[in-house]
Amino acid sequence: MPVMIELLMAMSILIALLLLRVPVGLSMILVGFCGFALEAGLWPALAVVQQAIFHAATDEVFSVIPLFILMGALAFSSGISDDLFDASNAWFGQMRGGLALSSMAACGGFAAICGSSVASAATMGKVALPAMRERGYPADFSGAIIAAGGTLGVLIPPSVVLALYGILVEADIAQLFAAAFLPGLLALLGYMAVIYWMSIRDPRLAPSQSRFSLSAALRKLVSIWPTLALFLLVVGGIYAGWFTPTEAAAVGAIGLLGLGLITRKLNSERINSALAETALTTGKIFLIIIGAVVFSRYLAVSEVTSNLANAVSVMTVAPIFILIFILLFYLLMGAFLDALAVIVLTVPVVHPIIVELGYSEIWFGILLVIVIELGLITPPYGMNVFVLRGVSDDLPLIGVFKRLIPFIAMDLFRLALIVAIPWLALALPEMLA
Amino acid sequence: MSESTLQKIAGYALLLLALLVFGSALLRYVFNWPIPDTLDFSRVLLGLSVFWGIALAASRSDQIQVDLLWDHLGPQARRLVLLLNQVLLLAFFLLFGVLVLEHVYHLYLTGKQTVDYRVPLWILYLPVLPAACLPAVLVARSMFKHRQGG
Repeated sequence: MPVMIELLMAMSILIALLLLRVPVGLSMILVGFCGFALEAGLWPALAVVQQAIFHAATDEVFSVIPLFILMGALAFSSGISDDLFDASNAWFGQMRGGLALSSMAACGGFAAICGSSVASAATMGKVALPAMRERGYPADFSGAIIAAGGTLGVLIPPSVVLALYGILVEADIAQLFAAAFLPGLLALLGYMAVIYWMSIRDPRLAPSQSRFSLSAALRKLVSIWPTLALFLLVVGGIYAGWFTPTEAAAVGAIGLLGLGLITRKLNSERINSALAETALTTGKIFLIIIGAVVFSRYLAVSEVTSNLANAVSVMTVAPIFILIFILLFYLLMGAFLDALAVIVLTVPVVHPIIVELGYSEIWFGILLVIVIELGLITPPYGMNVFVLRGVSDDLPLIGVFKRLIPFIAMDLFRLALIVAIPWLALALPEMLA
Repeated sequence: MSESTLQKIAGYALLLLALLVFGSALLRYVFNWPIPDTLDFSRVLLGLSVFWGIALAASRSDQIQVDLLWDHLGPQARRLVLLLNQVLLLAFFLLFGVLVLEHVYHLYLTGKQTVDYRVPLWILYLPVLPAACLPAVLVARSMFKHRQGG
């Protein structure tokens, strides 16, 4: 069977199963298993599923994912978000749109500990949304700030999505985290610039300001130093080569547990709740990872992806146009599908094409995460907006999506900037290498 | 087996994994003494948390799914989609249980051991067996309940 037809058939069946609400992991296992059985026979296909189950569930490389999820869950349970918000407010509160700027800065800080966008949006939604509403900030503007700020969780290292991408393409996770640092910082600063511009343009959006006190601001900064130190230890430890990403995740999780117990912000009930949440997420994600392994083995044995990559390499179209097409495709996918699902479904097919085009897989990983991040705030299925709706029932969905337009424009500008200047993502990994 | 038991087994296995990896890194730096069998034990603990986590997700019928079409379906179509999902999940989890059992039996036959303490691996993997068989039972129970409830 011609390669393209085989790929199209496999993808069509996969999409049909997904639309029929078959779990993402199971859909990939079914298509991968049937495809492999057609190529190589039933017993080898069963052996592939068995290997995939044990490869995913017992290969130490995958430990990094549940450990970073545990770190995020402990950060959520220990109420770090409140301290970060108070500290940010003490520094930015006096500016025009100060509370909104503080919320965004706290989102960035929490993202640096948490690693998940949806968890960042849910957590900061509980802390910052009521505070902004109390001070008279409009609901749509407040919601848009937290929804956009939440997306930082997927980019600012450590990021669970980026770690998964690294495992799937066998790239160095430490290099990926290093590459995400500057784009993550740019994202935070860009969002803060948008808030400032919106507040100046329409002062009704940011009605009140608090007074600045240096001593209070310094006190608040001191109160969050253990969290900052832990973040520096985790991310700095990876960059400096002290720890592997898995060890850094364990250091972060145990460090947060220790801090929470010392400051009495964590009790047995909260710890159990964080462990239960992590266990459930681990189970859900690993079914997808097993699916990704089975599906990628099928793609390898059928030589579909290598043939596709070869076909792309002889095309006369400039590589940059193929890259733009791929990014537009991801933009569309990200608006409809879960971030992890998008990555495991598409990366086995797209990664060989990117490599064949001569692009860096590290740089592409960052572009991919930025595009997926956009999907979290883009209608119709902007996940972060719906998560915030769960936190605050009266949040006007359409209003929030409208207020998100400048943030989305800033994201697109940042994406274009990193496409045009790969150095922004690659400078730090090259320096550290 | 209650949901809270599943949560505890999977969660505490993960906490132990974090402690083991953290302790191993710390001891390596401070005393230049790696904990023996860290790699084998961390693999087992990851396996425990993953298999029990999958059982937990199955017990809650909580999976990562695409709701694009689901939101627009009527009650009859939803029942059909649900039935299809349950049949596919049951078939997969039955296979899943058999494959895991076979793998552990293979470890027993080959007599593979941990590197340092020479502990037979099949003994360490015994606690994953109930977790591997549980999802099929849970899906079958859920199907039975649906049939009973109409």
